[in-house]
Amino acid sequence: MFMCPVCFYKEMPDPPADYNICPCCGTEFENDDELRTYAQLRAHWISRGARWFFHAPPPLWNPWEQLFTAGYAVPYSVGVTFAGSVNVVSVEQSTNEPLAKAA
Amino acid sequence: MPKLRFVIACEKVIIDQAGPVSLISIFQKMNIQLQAAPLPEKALSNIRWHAFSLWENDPKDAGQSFTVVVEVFNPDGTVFNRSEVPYTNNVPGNSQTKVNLMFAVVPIWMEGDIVIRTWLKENEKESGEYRFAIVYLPKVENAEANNSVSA
Repeated sequence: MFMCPVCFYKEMPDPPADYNICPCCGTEFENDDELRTYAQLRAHWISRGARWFFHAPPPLWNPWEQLFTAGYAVPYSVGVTFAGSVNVVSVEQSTNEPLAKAA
Repeated sequence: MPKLRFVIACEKVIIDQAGPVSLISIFQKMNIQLQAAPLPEKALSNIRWHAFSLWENDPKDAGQSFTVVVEVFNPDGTVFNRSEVPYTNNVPGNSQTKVNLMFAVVPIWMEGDIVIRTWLKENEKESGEYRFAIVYLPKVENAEANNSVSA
């Protein structure tokens, strides 16, 4: 298997050359990349929604996870904070009774 | 058969070399501060997290192999991730098995509950689930003004 240098899909059946087409982003190598860089092709794929190109995607496939895994920044940004209920019941247990003597 | 004691989602799991486990920041609600631009389909946040489950072994099962199945569901009920974790109860006196699944991303493309469901493949009645909420906060029109930390 080969990795696509455009979308970072890891399971290209053929190397990214010789007019082979990435099933994920649809780049035809040695054709599409003649006049555009990989970064430009990637930006174009992302701008069109980073959708799967050929037939149905593999089960559970996610384009953003593919980009994250490759260390590539995704084109959206959100702030994430963890929150939770403040309904906390804390009870400190103690005993005023003297410890029973060991038998 | 092993018994499920609990399953939980949290930010970190610390496993002491001697065995004890610490769970850090148990997930309950994850607030997502939206920006002006809409989230794309299947958007994720690159937050590392864990789905942790604790199984009580039956001494009679020594030497036997089991498989723990863990599925993570999106708020719309579709499967986000599915894992099968095989293990063999081959440590004498080993009363517990801890299954610690690590994830590098959280699905955030819709509001609602993320559900983690786990069960024993050999006995599907032995199952449990945990859920935490994805909650959208109102959009911030000026993205620069927001101190967003990550995607």
